[in-house]
Amino acid sequence: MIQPLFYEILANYESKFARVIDLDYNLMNDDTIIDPIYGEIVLDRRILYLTSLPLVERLARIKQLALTYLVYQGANHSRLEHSLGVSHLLTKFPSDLSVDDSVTLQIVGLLHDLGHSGWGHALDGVVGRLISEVLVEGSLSEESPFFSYKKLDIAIVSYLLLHNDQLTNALNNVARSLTSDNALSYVENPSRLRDVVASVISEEENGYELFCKWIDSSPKAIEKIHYFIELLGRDINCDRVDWVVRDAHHAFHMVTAYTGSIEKVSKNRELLKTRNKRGGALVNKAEYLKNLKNATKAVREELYNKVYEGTEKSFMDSLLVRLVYSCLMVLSAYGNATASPSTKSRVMMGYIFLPDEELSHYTESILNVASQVPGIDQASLNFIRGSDELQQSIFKNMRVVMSLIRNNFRPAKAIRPYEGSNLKKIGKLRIGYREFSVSYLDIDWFMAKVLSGNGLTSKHTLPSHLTQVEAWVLMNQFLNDMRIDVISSLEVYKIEEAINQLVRDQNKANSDFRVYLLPNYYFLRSLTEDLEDPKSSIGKGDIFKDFWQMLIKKHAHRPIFFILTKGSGSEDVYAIIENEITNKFGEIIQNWSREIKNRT
Amino acid sequence: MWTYTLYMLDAFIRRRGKYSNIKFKFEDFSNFVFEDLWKNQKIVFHDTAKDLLKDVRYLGELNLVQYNENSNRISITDGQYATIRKITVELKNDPIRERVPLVATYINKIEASVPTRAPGRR
Repeated sequence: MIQPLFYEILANYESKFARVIDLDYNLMNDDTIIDPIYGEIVLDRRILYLTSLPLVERLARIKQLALTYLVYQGANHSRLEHSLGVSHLLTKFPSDLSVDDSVTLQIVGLLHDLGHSGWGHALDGVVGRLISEVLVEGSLSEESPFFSYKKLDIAIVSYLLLHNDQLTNALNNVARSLTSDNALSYVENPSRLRDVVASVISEEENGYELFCKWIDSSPKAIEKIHYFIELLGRDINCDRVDWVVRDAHHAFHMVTAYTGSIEKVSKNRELLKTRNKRGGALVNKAEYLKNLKNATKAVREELYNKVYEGTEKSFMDSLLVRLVYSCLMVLSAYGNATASPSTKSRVMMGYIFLPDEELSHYTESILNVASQVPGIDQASLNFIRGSDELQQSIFKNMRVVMSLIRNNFRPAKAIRPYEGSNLKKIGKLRIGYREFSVSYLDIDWFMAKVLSGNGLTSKHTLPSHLTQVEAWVLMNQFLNDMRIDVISSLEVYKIEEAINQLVRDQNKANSDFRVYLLPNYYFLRSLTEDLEDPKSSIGKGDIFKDFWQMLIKKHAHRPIFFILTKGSGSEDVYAIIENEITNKFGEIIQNWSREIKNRT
Repeated sequence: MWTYTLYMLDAFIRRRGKYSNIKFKFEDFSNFVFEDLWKNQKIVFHDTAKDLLKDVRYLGELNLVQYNENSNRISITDGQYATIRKITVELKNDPIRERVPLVATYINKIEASVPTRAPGRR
C-alpha cells in the first residue's frame, strides 16, 4: 500500500527533524574530536550542541561520495565529517576573529551542506524535477528564498534556516550567547544569526538583501558577510580545500603521491594573514591562490577523472537518479490524487531528505507498490516497474556490477561496435536465473548520428533557415533543458516503452527480454559547464568545428546513455535501441528546426 | 546558461522600450538581473555581476552584442537586435517547456519582468 508509506515519510520528517529538541547547551562543555585530516579539533560547546540536533546529525548518515566506496573502499566518510572539517578550517584561515565571528563561521561550516539529500551529489540529476514539484508548484514556493537548477541544496538549507523549528530554536539559543558584536546585536535580535548564516551559505553577492532585511542599519555586517563568503566559497574556499583533501585521503592510497599536496595546502593557509575584500585586499591572496591551485591540481584532476566522473561512478549515479526519479513520479501522482499540495511537497521533501540507508529502504518500498498508484500513464508506469526490477537486481548487486564495469570498460582499446550499431558492450552478468547485459552509447555516437545526422556540424550544411549562431544558441538551449531534467526532456520513459514494444512486435528476443535506459546526467552537466567556460573559445570562428574538437578532446568515449538488457535477444535488438534513441534526439532537434522554419 | 542570459537581455531591452541603436550601461542590465529577476522573481542564474559579465562577453564573441571594456557599455546594432529577437522568440517557444515545468517557469518569470505594455510600445 502506498498510503502508509506516503504518510510515514511525512511523519518521519516531522517527528525527527522538525520538532524542537529540549537540550540545554549551557550544561555542555567544549569537546575535542579527532579528525582524520587535521587531528585534534576543539568543538565549541555551541557547535557540539548544534551537531547533536537530529537534523544535523543526519549528515553523519549520508556518505559524502554515495556508493563510491564500492570502487574506492575507503570512501566511506560522511557529510558530517566534511562539514566539521570545513567548520574547523574556517576559523584557521583568519588570524583576528572575535569569539562571535569564530562561532558564526563554525556554524556556517557545520550547516553549509545541511540541504543535501541522501546520496548527496549522486542525486543532482533529480533536482530539476524536485524543484518543479516542490519549490515552483508546491506550497513551499512562497517560503523558499529562491530556486535554481544548480542550487537545490542551498534552497533547502535556506528554507530550513528560516522555517525549521528545530534549527531556528537552536540557533536562537546560540545567538543569545554571542555578546561581543555590537554591530549585529545577536542577544537582542537572535534571528539575525540565522540570517547571516543563510546569507553566507547562499554564496550570493547580494544574498544579504534577501535574508537580512535589517542590514541597512549595519554596513559592518555587509562587509563581514562578504568576507565570510570569501572564506567559505569563492577564492579562499575552505569548502573546496576540505573536500579535495578529504576525498583524496579516503578514496586513494595516500602515503606517497598526495601527502605532499596536503602539506602544501596546509602551508598555504599560513600565507593568509587576512583582511577582507571590502576593507582591503587579502595579504598574499594572489600567492595563496596560485600556490593552492598548484598544490591541489594533481589531486583534483585525479579526483575528477577517477572518482567524481569515472565510468563506474557515472553508472551508479545514473542508476540512483533513475530509481529516485521513479519514486518522485509515484509520490507526485499519489499526492496529486489524494493530498493537498502542501502535504505532497512535504512528503517529497521528506523522502529526498532521508539519510542513505532509509532512502534505500523507502525507495525499494515505494517502487514495490507503484502499480497501485492511480494517475500514471502506461509508459511512465512501465518505466517505474523497470526501475523496480533494476532496484531488485542491479542495485542490490552493485558491487558485482561495479566490478564488471571496472574490468571491462576500456574505451581506448575495447571499442567493439556491434554490427550495424554504435552501441558498445561492457559485459554480462547473471543474477539468479536472469542474464543482464550492460552497454552504452557514447559521445562518438552523439557526434556521428545526432549532430551530423541533423546537420549540426561543420561537415554538413546547416538547415538553410538558420545561421550558425542561431543553430548554436538553440542547440545550447536544448542541452540546458536536458541538464535541468534529462528524463522528462527526452521522455526517456517513452523511448524505453517504444524500444520494448518494437522488440516484442518484431519477435527479436525472448518473451522476458527487457531494455532499461539510464541517461548519464553527469555527462550533460560536465558538457554544459564546459560550454559556459570562456576558455572553450567556441564562438570566435567556425562554431561547430570548434565544438566538435572540444568533444573529441574532452569527452571522447564518455557514455551518454547506459543501456541494460535483461534476457537474450538477437543482434537486431541493439540496432533498434540505437535507432530509437537517435530518432528521439533527431525528432526534438528537427521539430524545433521545422517550427522555426514555419515561423520564418 | 548563457542562453537564458540572452533571453534576459531581450527582456531588459523590451522593458526599456528602445529598439533601435540600443546602448546602455552594463550596470543597468546587471541591476535588472539582480534587483528585479533575482530579488523579485527569485531567478538565480548568476552568483555575481562578474558571472553575468562573463556571459555578456560570450554574447559579444557570438557577435550578438558589443561590449566596450573601457566604458562598460553594451551596444546592439539594429541587425544584431533582429537576430536576438528571432532567437529569443524561439527560446520562448522551446518545445521542451511543455515537458519540463521548470523551463516554462524560468521563461514565464523572465517574461513577468516585462510590463505587458512596454514603454514606447503600443
